[in-house]
Amino acid sequence: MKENRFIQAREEMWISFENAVKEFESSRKNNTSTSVEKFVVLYRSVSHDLTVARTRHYGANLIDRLNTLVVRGHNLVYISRTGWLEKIFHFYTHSFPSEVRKHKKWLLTSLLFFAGPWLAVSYCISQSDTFVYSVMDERTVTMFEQMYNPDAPWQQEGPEASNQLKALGGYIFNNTSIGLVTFVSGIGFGLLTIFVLLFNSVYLGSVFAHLTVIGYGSTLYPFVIGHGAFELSAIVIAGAAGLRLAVALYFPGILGRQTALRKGIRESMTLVAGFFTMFIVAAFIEAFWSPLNLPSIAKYLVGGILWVLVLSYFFFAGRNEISRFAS
Amino acid sequence: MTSNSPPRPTSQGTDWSSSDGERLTLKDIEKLQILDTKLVLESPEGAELEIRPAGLLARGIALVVDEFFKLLIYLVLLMFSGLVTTVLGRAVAGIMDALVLITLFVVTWFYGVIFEQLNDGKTPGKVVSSVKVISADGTPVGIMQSIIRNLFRPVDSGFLSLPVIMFLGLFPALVLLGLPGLFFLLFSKNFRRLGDHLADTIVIHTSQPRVVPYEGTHTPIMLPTTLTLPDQRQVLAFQDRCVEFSEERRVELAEVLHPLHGVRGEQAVEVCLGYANAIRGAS
Repeated sequence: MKENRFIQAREEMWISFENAVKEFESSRKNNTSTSVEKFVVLYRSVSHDLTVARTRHYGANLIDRLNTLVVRGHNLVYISRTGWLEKIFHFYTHSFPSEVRKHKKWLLTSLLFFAGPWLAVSYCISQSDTFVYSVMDERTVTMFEQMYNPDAPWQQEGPEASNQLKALGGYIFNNTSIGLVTFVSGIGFGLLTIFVLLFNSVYLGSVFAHLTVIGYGSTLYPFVIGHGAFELSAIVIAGAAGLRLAVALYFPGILGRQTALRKGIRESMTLVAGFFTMFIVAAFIEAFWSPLNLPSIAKYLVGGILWVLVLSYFFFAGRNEISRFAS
Repeated sequence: MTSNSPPRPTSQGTDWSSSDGERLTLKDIEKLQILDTKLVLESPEGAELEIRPAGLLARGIALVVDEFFKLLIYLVLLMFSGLVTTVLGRAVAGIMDALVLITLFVVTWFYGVIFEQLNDGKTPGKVVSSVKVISADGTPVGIMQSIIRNLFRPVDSGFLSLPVIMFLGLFPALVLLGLPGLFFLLFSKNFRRLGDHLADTIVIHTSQPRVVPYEGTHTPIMLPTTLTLPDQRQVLAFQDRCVEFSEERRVELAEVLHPLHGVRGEQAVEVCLGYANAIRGAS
């Protein structure tokens, strides 16, 4: 078929496709005059014409014109604009907890790095009164002692609203950043991830042990038990996600390193979004619930319930649901 | 389309770029492509999308502008919160402090994500230097890709910016010391940062190269043979850009087609422009 006749025969269809493309590009809503089904049919025909034109060595003009049309259509067809609210809901009820369970191995490794030094430091501090000073300097220790002194005047009054808000900002900024850094640094073969885990473990471990030894546990534990459920699990998850990256670098398997790493990141992004949320939740609890001046028993009760909720969420949530977004 | 017309003569053997007896190997072609940073992506339907990856300078300008813009956001916010606290008293100080800290957090980690998603892959700095982020397959950048490519930004500075972010609460202007980032950018194909590799994205120029279309008229001259599509494009591009070339360069390029037209000098240019017109009005 001569090029002219080909153009004559198909021109009308190309123009209607071009109009449809323009419409979809501009409105991006559902009130277009061409239906989606029609659009796809047109798209397919234009793609077909492009291939035909190429195979028959028609002129550059025609091929460029068709190529532009198909590229514009391609960008409309392959863009993803699906129901995000549904996706978010599905994420928390299904994807996140099941993804956490899937990473059991790395969670346990991360927990080992986080809990191991904690216990070791606690043991050392319980044996020797001065050990704490080989971990942190005297000023820091005094600061923590003052903060949690049961006889201090600020333990008797309730928290001040403006301080709580400021603390909220600080918790969100610091803790979530630490979590993100723990994950991101997995790219450096996991060494930095492990360092962040060990550092936090030793630091928190010595503060806890020291305050317990000198008898300030009665103010410390009611304060931390509530948000600890979210914060401590979130740190361990962040560590697991970071380790997951490092593992992709060490053992790429049959994939190339870059592909393995990309795959690892895509898979751990679920964990990242999850621990991100947990840090935010923890910040709110830490800022508004934990400093409340309530009897310790109430704090322990609520804190215990939170721990049970968080742990059972990871153990049981999303087990039975059949994934509608199965890949 | 089931036409039974005889197949058109192919251009095999008459390919002018190999007319001196040597066929170009794939390696030669790859070498030739180094002349240009243009990259051709092919969609599943066979459409070709030409993109031009942005280099160090364009991306550097975008980075610096973005860092200053972040600093500006932060300063304006600090001034605003100071003003509000002074006017309304200590009662709102807490809200203002929280606002400042949370904004600092969001800007530090999500500045790029927010702008790339809301503004078609362009942060303010990228708008200034006319570049944008797209997915490596040519489609608009996805939200997950945006998050990944920005999440790994601290790695570019070898985590130098982090002590600054975390402990001083200042802005990561130290990202400018981003040596690892520079390394990745310069030593990877298509100038991709570590974050770009991980998220499978690419930063491209949005502005088209300036082409002044040729406006003279020439009688179409039929080509003695059928050129392949890329060759036809070359001839058309020659016509489009011949105004930009110097006299000598124009002649030099036109004489590449010597095996076809057999003439030299100004005349060769005339013939080539005639060829181009024949292709433009091609039957």
